Amino acid sequence: MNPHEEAIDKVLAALRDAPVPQHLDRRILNSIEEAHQSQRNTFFGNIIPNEAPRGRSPGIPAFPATRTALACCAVLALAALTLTHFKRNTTPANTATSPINANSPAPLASSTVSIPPSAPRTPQSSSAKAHGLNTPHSANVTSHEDHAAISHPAPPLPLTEQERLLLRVAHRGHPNDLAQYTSERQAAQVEQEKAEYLAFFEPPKTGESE
Amino acid sequence: MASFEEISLVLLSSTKSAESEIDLTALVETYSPLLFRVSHSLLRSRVEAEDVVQDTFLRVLQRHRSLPEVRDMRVWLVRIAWNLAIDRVRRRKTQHADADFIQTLVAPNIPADKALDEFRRMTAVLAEIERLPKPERHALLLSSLEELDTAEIATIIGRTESATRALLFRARTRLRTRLEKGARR
Repeated sequence: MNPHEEAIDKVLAALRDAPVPQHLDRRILNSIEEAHQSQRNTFFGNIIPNEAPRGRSPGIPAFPATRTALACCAVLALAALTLTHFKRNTTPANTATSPINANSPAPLASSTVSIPPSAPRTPQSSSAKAHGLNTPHSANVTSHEDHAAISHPAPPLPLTEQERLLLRVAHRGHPNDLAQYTSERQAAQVEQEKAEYLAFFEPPKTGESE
Repeated sequence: MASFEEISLVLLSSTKSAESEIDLTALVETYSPLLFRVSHSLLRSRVEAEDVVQDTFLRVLQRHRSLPEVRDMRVWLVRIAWNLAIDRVRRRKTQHADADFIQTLVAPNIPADKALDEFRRMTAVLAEIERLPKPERHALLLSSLEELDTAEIATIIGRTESATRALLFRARTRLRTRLEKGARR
């Protein structure tokens, strides 16, 4: 047999006959059991405690991590509710001017911005008083008017130096000359131009034609 | 700690009935030697091979719901162990020293010079096995176990049966040729 073949077979046989460590299965089972236990504790133990202490509500988990998480959730939910409520109460003043809100005095009073007592107040109309309506405060009204004002286009900008020069080049006629350019003058000028044209394009006069 | 008899390691599939019960203890007892040898053939480290066997059964525990669907449990387990061993070899940062394993191949009662010669020869064989193309090496190592037939090896390495036979032939030929070339130098 080839010595190399023999060496190959020897190595492969050694790999095949590698002795299995003693109590391998026992160790593996131990580790599996530990993994199984930890798995159960991780997935189920947190939600359903094995032995719920007496006096505790059955729905509440017994483990501190879960309890902390639940407490955090509750706090977050409360904070979100408070924020939403606060936002609703401090909505923009245009709600105060709406006709729907004008008929409901109590929420309107609470929804307007607090104003110092020294601030001037606009007199309420007698009809409004008679109907028991609260007119919105002047500050609110002005701010609303400011917001609702029609926007105008911006005034034209003054001409630059270059623009002025361009205008001068384009309009050469002096205003005084233009004022003297009457209709008679214009007609005479037209006549003159016509005569010049005819004189230029008129065929030469020969004796034969005469 | 409770004993194994007390702790039920019988995995019950939630969807299937009692006929789908799989006894993990029996699986460990039956297949752990084979899985150890499979992983040891690739890793050549007893400690690492044992870790691989353990990881294999932990995977089985994690996927116990799919156990009833497994057709060939033996091949399935070997495949898991084999892939885990390949991952472990890939993650090795340094070249694995086979000195301990080779020492077991050298006969203890021979003169020192002959023992050294034998040691070098075995080292060369292992080095040439490592140099083989990956599919050929895997086919050769799995076939060396003599517990798996060609069809099973083909399933494990993801080739056809004929391709596996060709791989085995080429591996053997290439290994012999390279060893002969190395001896001539």
